[in-house]
Amino acid sequence: MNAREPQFVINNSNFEEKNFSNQNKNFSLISKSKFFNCSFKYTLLKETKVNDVIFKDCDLTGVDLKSSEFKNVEFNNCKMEKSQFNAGIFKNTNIIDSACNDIKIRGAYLNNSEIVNCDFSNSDLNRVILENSKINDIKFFNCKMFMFFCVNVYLKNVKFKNSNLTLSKFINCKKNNSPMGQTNKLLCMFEKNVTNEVS
Amino acid sequence: MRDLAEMSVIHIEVTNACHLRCANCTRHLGHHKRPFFMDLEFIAKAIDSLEGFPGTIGLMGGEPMMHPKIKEIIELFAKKIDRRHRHIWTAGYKWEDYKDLVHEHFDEDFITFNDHTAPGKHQPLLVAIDDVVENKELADELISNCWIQEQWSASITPKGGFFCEVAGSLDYLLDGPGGVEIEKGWWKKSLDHFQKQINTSCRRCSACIPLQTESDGFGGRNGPTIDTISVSNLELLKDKSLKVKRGNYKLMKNTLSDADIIKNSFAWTPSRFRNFNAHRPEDSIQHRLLSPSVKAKPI
Repeated sequence: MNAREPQFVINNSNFEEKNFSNQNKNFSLISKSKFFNCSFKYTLLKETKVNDVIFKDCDLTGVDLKSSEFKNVEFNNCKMEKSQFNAGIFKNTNIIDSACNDIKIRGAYLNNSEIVNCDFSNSDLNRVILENSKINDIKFFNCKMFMFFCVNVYLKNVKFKNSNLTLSKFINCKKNNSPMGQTNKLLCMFEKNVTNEVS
Repeated sequence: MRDLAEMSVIHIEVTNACHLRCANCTRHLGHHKRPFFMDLEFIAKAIDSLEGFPGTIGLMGGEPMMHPKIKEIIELFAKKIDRRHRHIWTAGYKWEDYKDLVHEHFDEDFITFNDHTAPGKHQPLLVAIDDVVENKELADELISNCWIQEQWSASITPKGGFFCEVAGSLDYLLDGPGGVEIEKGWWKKSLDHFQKQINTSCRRCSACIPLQTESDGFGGRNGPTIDTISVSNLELLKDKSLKVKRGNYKLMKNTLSDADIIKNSFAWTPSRFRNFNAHRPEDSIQHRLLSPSVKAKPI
């Protein structure tokens, strides 16, 4: 039995200032491609596979990428507010200098990934699992982070404020200037082998 | 928890009859003595009440194809709901008879097909949280962050509108007070409006508790399936549940400390009850071929 054929395929292509917004592109395959200053505003891309792709200066506001898989992907200086990545799988994927306010990434799994200089304020990160990854210069303000789970993660300059981290777990992690402030809800939090570095 | 207006789907549960008998079914199938079949007039009213809802309207069961008027229901959905705002769930009952009609009226990304022939895990749902979770503050937090209410759907049953699909089914099973009246825009009401339902249903449910998920039993194809039930729920179900009457349950008597809940939560990913998405029979078949040796017997 053959696997599902993707409905839309983008392969080995580069796009600049291309408008993909408000389209139904669920079940797509996007591979070995680069997008510069393109718009995916409110585009439906559920259950999409994204491999070896760079999004630079793109507008992904409200994009629906629920249950999608990302491998070797970079989001650089992108607008990602109100986007949906619930149940996504991210491997070797970097999110850099991007606005991630009010996103839904509930239940996602990230491995060997880096998130740098991003603001996740008002986002839903319940049940996110982050493994073998780095997060630097991140704001988690007013976030849902119930059962947020970090394994072997380096956290540097990560600010948690007014967020619910109940049942969150940090195992084999290094923290540098990433305190859990008193404003967060930290009921039944669990830490094991967590070291606090001094800058 | 989230308001209904934020959900991507609200279900209209046209029946709770099903040809399968999964363990820990979200519609408590196998327990009900008599299934309901929603009439066409009520279905039309339910659809009208969801006018303006930005997500999709789900044609849901039980197994919707077991409704004797399923053809008329599908045509009613097609007549009253924009194509990109209707969604159907099926376990594949008489699929060969209905697949052309379904594909005529639903786009494939809005067909969810789960015949339960591939291995699937179900979260126990009949363990009353107040029976087992010792820390009441944590119990409230678990309820407030229930993955089903956050990820799944509100529903309309013949007893009204519910903030959560499992709560709607539980209300039917336990002869609860019923849902809110199905009037235009009922789904716009804030969650506070559903507090009475939350207080009754969520305290009887275990969707939010980190408990070991169990095999769905391939829909009962391999023999009777067993539900996990806590002490106070068993008492309520004694005279109501066929599954209890037949002894197809296991009793959970122990309580859970904070340490137990932390421990259980490590490997607890109940929303990943299958590790694939299925929109057609081939998706399940493909997954079955890649799965361990446990197989479903033909029904």
